[in-house]
Amino acid sequence: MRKFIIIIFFISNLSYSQNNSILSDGVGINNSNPEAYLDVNGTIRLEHSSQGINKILIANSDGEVRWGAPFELTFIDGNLPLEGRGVTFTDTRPHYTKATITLEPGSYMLRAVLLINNAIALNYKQSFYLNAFLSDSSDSSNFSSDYLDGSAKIMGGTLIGPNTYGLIDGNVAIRNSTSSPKTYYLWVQLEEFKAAGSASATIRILDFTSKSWGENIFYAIPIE
Amino acid sequence: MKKILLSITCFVVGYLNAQVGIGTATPSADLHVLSNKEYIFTLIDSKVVSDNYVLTANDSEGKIKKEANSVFNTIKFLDLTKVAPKSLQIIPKDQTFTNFFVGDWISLGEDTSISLSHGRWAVAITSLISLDEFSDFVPDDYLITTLTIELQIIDSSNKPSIISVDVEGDKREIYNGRGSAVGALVFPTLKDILRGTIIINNPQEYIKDYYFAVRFILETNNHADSVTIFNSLKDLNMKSILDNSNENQVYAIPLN
Repeated sequence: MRKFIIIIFFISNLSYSQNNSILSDGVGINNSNPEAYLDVNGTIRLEHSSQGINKILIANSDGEVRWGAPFELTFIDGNLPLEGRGVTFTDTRPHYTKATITLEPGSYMLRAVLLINNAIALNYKQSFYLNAFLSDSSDSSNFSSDYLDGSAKIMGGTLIGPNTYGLIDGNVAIRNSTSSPKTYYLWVQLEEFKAAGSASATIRILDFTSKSWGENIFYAIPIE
Repeated sequence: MKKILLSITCFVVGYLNAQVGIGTATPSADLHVLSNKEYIFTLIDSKVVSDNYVLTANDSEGKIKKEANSVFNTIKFLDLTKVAPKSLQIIPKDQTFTNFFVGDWISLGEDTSISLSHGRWAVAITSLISLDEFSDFVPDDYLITTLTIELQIIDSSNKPSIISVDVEGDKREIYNGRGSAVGALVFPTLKDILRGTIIINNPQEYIKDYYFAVRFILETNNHADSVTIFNSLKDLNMKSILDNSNENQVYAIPLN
């Protein structure tokens, strides 16, 4: 031990590149009494292709360590139509809402909160259910082909009379597998309910998805 | 240089009073590792069970340990595509009338479970709730009747009334939230959404399966036809809860 210390004492820069060295009781760097297998009294620098600003060290199940980014949340805003240009619809066919979102390649959790306001107040015997979904086209109401496995495809909500307002509040997961940005189109379909014998409601949903409603949001968060 | 390295292998304890470079001949820190391999180094200890450990300094002395942390997991989805449609009895046939009925918890079964590794998770649940057994529209009598569906996470699919011990927030008993997800059908609406977020903190160092249970709460508001409505609902079943319907999804977001 003494011999070893003397040998290295005069070395100011030591490059250690040999494999298969075993020090069963530990190594001290600037520390003659290591309390761990590797005990560094000073600074450590770990250069690796995974390094980056504000990254932290992450180990896998084999104890292998590399730098990784801590959890980070970013938002990608969708495009909602301007005030007065939202969709007003009166029947049960699927309608393109004019709301879109364009996403770079990758996977996303997409969230929509959309106010439902019928122009004519419903009575307590009338209600309807709206389902909103993503399509790859503004011309076709087919579900987008990019929904992730396990994701819902529909974001649903109700307006139940005599309420004036209802909400769609939901999220779905989607993956743009192409190599370029892709636009997704929000569609909506209506299903009506009423008590037997009562009149059908006059359904005219105002400015659906429009920016005119402060409640409306449509955004995506990267999840990969 | 070789002489020094040979000396190191001969002694039990190594003491290096110098800047040490591993993979670099020009260290710029007391210990400088330059790795061109997939990983920087390997740290083996007794905690080698599952992925995603972070290295933390556990005290003021700078000692480093591995700590399991779910933050670096990705969002986990429960695969509902293979879950067959379920039909759940709302009111047992032998149940006597009450204008505020709270049913027993019903397990959604083994095929509806989500597997979570160590750490805290926000489990977001969205499910269609649907009564599609009315051939036309809802009879007038049903108005001012509300059917609430409550959902909880359980540890065993055979014990639906026992909420998981890992649900955070000290459970539903003191009503401080985070214990259940909920939805309601207000007639004449026959279709709506159950939604909620439940915080799970899995303290185990292994991946654990969590299951789901629901119960029905019926309020008939004590009007003239309450008994008729109550008895007729015994013939109806709730559809779509966490099956393969397009509205349904369960996913878990890792928390720190």
